[in-house]
Amino acid sequence: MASNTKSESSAGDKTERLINLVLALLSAKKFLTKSQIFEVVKVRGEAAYQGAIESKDRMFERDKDDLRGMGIHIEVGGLDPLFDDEAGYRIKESQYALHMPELSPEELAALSIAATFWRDSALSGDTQSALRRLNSLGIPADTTNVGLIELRYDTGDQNLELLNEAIDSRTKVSFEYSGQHLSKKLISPYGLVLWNGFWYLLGEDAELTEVRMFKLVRIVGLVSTTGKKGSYQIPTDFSASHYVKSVMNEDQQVARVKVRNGTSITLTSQGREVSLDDGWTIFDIQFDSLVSFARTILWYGADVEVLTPSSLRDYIHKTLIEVAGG
Amino acid sequence: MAETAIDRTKRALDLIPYVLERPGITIQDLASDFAVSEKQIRADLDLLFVCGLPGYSPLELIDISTDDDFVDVLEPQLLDHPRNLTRREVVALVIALEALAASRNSSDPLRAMITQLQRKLQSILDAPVAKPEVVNTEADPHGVLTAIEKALSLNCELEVEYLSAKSDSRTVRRIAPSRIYMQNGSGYLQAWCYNSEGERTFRIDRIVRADLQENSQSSENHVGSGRDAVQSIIINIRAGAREFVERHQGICTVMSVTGDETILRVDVEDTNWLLRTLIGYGSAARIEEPAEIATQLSAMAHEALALYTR
Repeated sequence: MASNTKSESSAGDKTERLINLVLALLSAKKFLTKSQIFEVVKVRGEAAYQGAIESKDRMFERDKDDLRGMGIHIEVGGLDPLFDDEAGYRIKESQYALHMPELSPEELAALSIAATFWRDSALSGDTQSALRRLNSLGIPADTTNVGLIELRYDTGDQNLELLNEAIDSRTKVSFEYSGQHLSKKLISPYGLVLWNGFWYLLGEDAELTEVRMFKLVRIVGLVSTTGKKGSYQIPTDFSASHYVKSVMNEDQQVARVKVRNGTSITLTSQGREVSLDDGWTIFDIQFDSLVSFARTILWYGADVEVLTPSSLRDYIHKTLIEVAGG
Repeated sequence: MAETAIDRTKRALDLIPYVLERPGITIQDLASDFAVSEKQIRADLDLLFVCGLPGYSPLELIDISTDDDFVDVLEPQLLDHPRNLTRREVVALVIALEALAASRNSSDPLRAMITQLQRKLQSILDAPVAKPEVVNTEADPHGVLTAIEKALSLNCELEVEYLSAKSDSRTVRRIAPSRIYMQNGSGYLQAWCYNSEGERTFRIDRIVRADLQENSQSSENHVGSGRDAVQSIIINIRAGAREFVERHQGICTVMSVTGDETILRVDVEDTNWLLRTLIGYGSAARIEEPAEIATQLSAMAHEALALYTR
């Protein structure tokens, strides 16, 4: 940093200045002008802001940005048109402090467990800090009803948080996607879903001008934001979970399968028994995706035969020929 | 590690309400709770001690006592309340809560509580944040999670009935649970299994029954790996079978990539599991080595094919 003022020489001095600035702005009944701040805020008996007026100004602007970066809301106001046009600043207690509407002991415990999700990520520090403050509200945590489960997010990169931030600020993203072919995508992100064991991004593809789903594990490297914040709108009636369900329901079907008695227990536990045959039982089982259901059926090898629909039966038949012939 | 003045300011501001809630907390505990050294906590407290309101007379300064490493805040000035949550923090907590929700059935009261909690978190922001959604496949279809959690907290054993997809069997096992976790929307239980004399991982959605074995304080420290020998299989994967790699990253090592084809080494204990999984990918997954495993796969397909060629 190029600053040569004495008070910037150590991080300790800056920390003290920031704390005393927060306290001064919190205690102000009226808006404090910059000159008042320069006069009253001190660090160990000396003026916190020193040097020429421009350097004081610069230092104060930076401090203000830093405090805002910490989530501290600094109110600007007190402009009196009759006298001068110097802005004043203050921090309202109601905005500085955390006021959670009646947080229960169970809710606090649920937050602690939820925070394990980010354990190994860049958000770990933020969530731990947030938890410490939530744990300073005078509420005892009660873990009896929220369980002991730990959460793991193992995609191993920051794309989930980057995408959520992009959605939040309505910023377009671009990334390399390993779909049918490796290709570059430019997407207006709409939402994220966790479905069937994978995280997906839903968003409008700039090329197709249509909503598409992208599997996060197929994104190569990190996503990058492009363009300005607020550069698109998410249709007000858009719901990520509805979109996924509609994609699934489009081909929601029932398969009739024949199962060798006493086998395929995980499969038949989801189905409805229809009739008994010699050593075999017939079941009706619902499925969404033909390909992934075919894989499930093929798992059971010669213990399960698909009777209908013919599309599923044919797909399995074809797959078996491929493997048997090889 | 150089810490920024901003990080230090945040921690210093947050220490005051934290200590106020825990009068007499030790420096050691503060260091562990804030994940910094004891030396750093002492420096932070010393720094706070000289901060205060304009005027900076003894009456206007923050007052903290640290007798024998027991910390008390005597005068917090205006910092008695914790700092508000930032938008980034709210976003992180809202996403994490959604992942927690996925561990429970939609009828579980915890789900409703989480939704309400997400709403409360949102309410402290000026504008609500985007929230990811879990499209629910019930993580606990047989309602066994509560019994497992009880066993864990009481350090008790469980008798479980487990549907093993691997061996296509329904087995009753006696287990000593060690931990439960959610990964990508599925719940897993890690436990010592007395039947197989080894550490095993069970999918919670395949446990159809879990009964607590009262008065069965599980004996600590089970030893022995109990694992079967690992075998390496070389597979040629094409685009159509990429999902296999995505689902089983832990056991796959990419050997080489040429155009559309990836040569993969898969380390498995149970080749039967691998064969049953690979058969579903058809010609998009081909076993290169060892030859006898490749033969087994094609034999398995032949056998099933008989059903379709009558």
